[in-house]
Amino acid sequence: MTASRSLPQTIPSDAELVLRTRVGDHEAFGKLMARYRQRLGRYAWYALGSRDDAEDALQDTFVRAYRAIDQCTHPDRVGAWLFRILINRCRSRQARKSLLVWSRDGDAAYERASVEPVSESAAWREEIEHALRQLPADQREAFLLKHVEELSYDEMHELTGASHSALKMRVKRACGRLRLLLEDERA
Amino acid sequence: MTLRWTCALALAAALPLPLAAQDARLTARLDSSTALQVQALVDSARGERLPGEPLVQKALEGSAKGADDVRIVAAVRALYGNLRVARSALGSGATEPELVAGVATLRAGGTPDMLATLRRLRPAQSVAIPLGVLTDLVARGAPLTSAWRSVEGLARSGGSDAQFLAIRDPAGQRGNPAPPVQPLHPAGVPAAGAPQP
Amino acid sequence: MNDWHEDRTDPAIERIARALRDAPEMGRDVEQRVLAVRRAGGDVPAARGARRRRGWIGAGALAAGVALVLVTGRTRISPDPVAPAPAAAPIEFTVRAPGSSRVSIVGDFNDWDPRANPLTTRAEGVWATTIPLGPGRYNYAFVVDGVAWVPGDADPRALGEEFGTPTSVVTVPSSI
Repeated sequence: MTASRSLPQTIPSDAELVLRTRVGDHEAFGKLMARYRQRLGRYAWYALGSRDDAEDALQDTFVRAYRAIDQCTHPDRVGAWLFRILINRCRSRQARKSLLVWSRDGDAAYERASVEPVSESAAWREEIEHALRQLPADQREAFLLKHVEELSYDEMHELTGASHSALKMRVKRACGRLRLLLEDERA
Repeated sequence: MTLRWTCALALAAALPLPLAAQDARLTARLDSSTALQVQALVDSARGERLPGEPLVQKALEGSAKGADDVRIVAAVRALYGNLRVARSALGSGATEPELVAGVATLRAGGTPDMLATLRRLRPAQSVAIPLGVLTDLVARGAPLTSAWRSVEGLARSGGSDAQFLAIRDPAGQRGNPAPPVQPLHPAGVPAAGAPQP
Repeated sequence: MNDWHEDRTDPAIERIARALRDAPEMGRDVEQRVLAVRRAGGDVPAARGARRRRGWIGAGALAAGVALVLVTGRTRISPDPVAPAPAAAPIEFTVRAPGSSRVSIVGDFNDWDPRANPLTTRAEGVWATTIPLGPGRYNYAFVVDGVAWVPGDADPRALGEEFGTPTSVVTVPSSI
């Protein structure tokens, strides 16, 4: 009887998935998207204020990334590369959306109407999201990257191109404003 | 779907890939045989995921300088080979500016090991500026070994692009005011593309 | 009011951030849409029916971009085409050529075309022009009276020049 051994399944690295995508492996790109979907989607949701817009931005990001996968200069840091694309897509959408008025009641009512009884934590998050929408886009972006995505200022500089001092000021102002808004909400 | 959406999709699907098109600049400036040879080299380079634009520019440079077709094709072929060596040393993720700068360094006498070392020392940052500074120092007369020592040392200590440029231009500005061009005398000034000894 | 310092762990901000990190699940249909249409070689429709107009704008813009590339014949591979193109910086080129009737500049940035960027006189015998250039290294030379190729002394010479006519190299860093 011949003994057989199966090789342990190894989880491919980001770099490996990028290289496989480059030679036409669609599924490899699917795995890459699955890895980053939640994190990128979360950022887009809070940056843009709605699930629809977040999904659009996410989809746009993945399509552009797939088309330009050869231009990912550091495949082992494809996450940062994807994030940079996403931030640009979100900024483009924000620039278009600045002509519209943020409607808290409309968005919140739609979200509330489409889910079952809102838990206390979900309600709290909704309040935070509303407060986030009151921030200028650059402060919101900096706050999300610093405190939600927990990036360093070096990483934030790499993604956004803004200087360390500008980023720190935006984070500081965002924190101050959020505290004011959320204390008012809870009062 | 709206008519506009349908048309846009149809257009996007019907357009051939840019890589398959003959570059109009080559056909306008070179004879057809040379343009075809150069285009083949450009397409081959792009097939290897090397940048094609430097090859196009090399051909156009040769054309502008009045070089003969054999020389133009040879120059493009040589540049193609250099780009391959540069990419081998810098890694598959090297950008076009890095590859172009890498080629210049190789032509200045630099080695693939130097390129690979800079890449190792600066894994997350472009090496285009350090390579460019190394090349330029040699072009200005510095021995390669001492130029390399300066550039490598700064890379090891995490120098910024601005610091690299400051090695090359200590005054902080690009070059010095140029001396006047010699008054033109037909006997003293070579015509464009004239063969050099 | 507390003085917020970004490097201090503030419990209130941490509470806010923690709530935000716990975001609702993003649907897998985004990936499926992207993969399904890429396999078919087409473009990706917008996420929802209500966003059709935005999707058309996106597809139209992409199609127009490809069309523009074919019309101009330029297929430069930029370092990162999906990010906004790095801003071009105005770079001044100056040469003293007293007694000359016309001076132009040729290089990697204008397809070595002497008609593309003629210089103008700024002072007696001094010719200059300003050209917006993105980050990178560019070989160039001045062409004086249509016949004399003159390298720029403000920049180092290009080494290993193949055609027997000297050129210079200008380096434009990514941030000036």
